[in-house]
Amino acid sequence: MKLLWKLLRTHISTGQIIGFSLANVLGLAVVMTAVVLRGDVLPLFEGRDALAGNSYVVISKPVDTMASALGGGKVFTEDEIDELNAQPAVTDVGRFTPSTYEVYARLSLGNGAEMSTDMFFESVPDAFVDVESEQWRFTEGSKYLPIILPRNYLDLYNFGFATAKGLPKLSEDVAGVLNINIDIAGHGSRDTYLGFIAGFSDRLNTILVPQSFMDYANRLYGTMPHPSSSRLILEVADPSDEALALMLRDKGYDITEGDDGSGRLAFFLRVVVGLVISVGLLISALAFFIFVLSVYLLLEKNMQKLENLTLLGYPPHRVASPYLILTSALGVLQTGCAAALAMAARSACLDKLSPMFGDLGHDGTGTLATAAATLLMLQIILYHATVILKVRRIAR
Amino acid sequence: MPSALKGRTSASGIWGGRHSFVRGRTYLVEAASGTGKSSLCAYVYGYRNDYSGRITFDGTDIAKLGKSAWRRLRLTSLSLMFQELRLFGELTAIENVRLKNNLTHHKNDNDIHTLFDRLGIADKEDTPVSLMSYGQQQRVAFIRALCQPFDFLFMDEPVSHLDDSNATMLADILAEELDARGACAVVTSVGRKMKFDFDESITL
Repeated sequence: MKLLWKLLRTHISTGQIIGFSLANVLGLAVVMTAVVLRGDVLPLFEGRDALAGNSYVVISKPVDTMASALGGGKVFTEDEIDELNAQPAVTDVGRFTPSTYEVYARLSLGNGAEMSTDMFFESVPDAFVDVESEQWRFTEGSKYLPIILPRNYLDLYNFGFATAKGLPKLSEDVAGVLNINIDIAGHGSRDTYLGFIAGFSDRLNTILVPQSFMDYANRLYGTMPHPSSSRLILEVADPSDEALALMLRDKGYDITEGDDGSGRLAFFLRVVVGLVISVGLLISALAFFIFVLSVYLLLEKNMQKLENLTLLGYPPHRVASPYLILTSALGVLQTGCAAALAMAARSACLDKLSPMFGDLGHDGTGTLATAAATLLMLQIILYHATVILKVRRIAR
Repeated sequence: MPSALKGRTSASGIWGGRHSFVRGRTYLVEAASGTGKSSLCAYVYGYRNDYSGRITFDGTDIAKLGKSAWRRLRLTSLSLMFQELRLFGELTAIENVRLKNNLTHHKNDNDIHTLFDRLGIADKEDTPVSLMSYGQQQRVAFIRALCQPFDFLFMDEPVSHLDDSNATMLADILAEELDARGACAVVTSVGRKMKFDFDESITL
C-alpha cells in the first residue's frame, strides 16, 4: 500500500483538489442549510405546529345561472362529504347548517332610533368556531341567544356605516353588551329571543348561532329539521397539500381561504427552499464534474503505471485503492466542513427568527446529521464508481 | 501470426505453423528485429490480441480468458521479463521488486538481497530505478520476474545490455530457478545470446 501510494501520488494536483473541494463544500453547505432550515421553519407555516394550529378552508359549490333559475340548491351529498373526509390532508369536515325559519332582528340604538332587518342564521359544529367564549352555548327553553358575527361586519359598521351616519363607533367589548331582539317565526309559532354578540370571527364569514340552537330551532320552527349543507368547512392539517388542492379544483368547488394565508406562504416557502436545494445540488454536481475531470486527467497521466501494475497482477481495486482512499477522505472532510458551515448559517438565521417566532428548531442537528450522512454516502458511491470504472478500463 | 505481418509468406518456426512450449524445457527464439518476438511475448502474456491464429494453454484458447483469469495466470504460472522492462522509475530497485513480491510473497527478503548481490547490484538496492543504467535495470527486472511462482518464464532480450560476466551469472541463476521449479523458459534474442544450454532453438 505504501509503495502503491508512493507510485501513484505523482501528478496529484493540489490546486485542482482545493478548487474542487471549495466548490463542493459550498454546494453541500447550501444544500444542507436549506434542508435544515426547511425542517426548522416550515412547520411554522404548515399548520402542523401548535403555534399555528390547523388551517381551515370553506368550500361551496359555484352558483350558476341554471341553478339560480331552477332554484335548485347547490348542496353537498353524503357521498361527496365522505369523499372529502377520505382525503389524507383533511382531518375533519364540518357542515354549515342554514336556518329554515324566518329571522327578524331589531336593534335599538339608545337614542330612540331602531334598526331592523330580515336576516338568516347559520351554524357550524362548535369545534370549528374560532371564538372562545363562556357564553357560546344555548340551552333549550332559554331566551338568550349568543351570536357570532364576522369581524369584517364590525369594520364595515365602524369605518363605513357609523362614519356616514354620524353614529358612535363600537369596540368589540361595547358591541358585546348590545341587546338585539330577535324574532323567530315558522310553523305557526313566533318567539322573541334576546340576542347578544358573543364574539367576532376571522374564520367564518357568516352570522353564527350555536349548533344546539340551530338544531332546536329548525325542529321547532323550520321547514326542514335537517337541511342539507351548501357550504362545508374543512379542517386541514396541511393546506399546501397538492392532492387536496387538485381534488377541490377537479370538483369545481369554490374555495374561501381560511383564517390566514399560511397555506400559500408554506407553498411559497417550499418552492423557494426547493429552488435553493436545486441550486446547491447544481453547484455540487458541477464540483463533481470538475472532480471527475481531474481524476480522469490524473489517471490518464498515470496510465502507464496503472497498466504496468495490472500486468504485474495487481487487481483493479487494489490499483485504485490510493485514489479511493484519497477521494473518500476528501469527501468526509468536505462534508464535515459543509456541515459546520450549514450549522453556522442555521444558528445565524434562527437568531434572527427566534424573536419573532419564539423557540425554534429542536431537531436541527438530527436533520443535519442525516442530510450530511446521506450526501456523504452518495458522494463516496459516485467517487468510487468513477475511479473503479476508469481503472478497469485501463487494466489489461 | 501478428496482424502487422499478415500477407508475409513465412516458414518460421512459430508464425504460420504450429508450435508448443512444454514445461521443463528451454527455448531460444532468434530473429531479426521486427519479426514479432515481443509481439509473441505480449500475446502469450495476454495484453495484446492483434493476431490471427490460435494460442492455447493446456487446450484452452487464451482469447476466451477474462481479466481476472489473466491476473491469476500472471500471479501463478506465467512470468514475463519485458523487453522495455516496465519498471517504475520513481521507486527504488528493491521497491520495484517488492511491489511484485508483496502480491505473491514468493521470496523472502533474504532471497531478494542474495539475488541483488549475485547480480552485482547490491549497492543499488535503494537507488531509484530512473537513476540506474539500462543494464542494471535489466537485472532488477529479472529479479522481479523471479518473484512469483511460474510454469513458463518468458524473457524478452534479457541480456541485451549486460556484460559477459553478468550475463553468465543471470544464466546461472535462471538455470537454478528452472531446475527448482521444473519450469519452462522462453528467451528471445536478436543477436546477443545468453550462454545457456537451450533445449531447442527456433528462428522466427
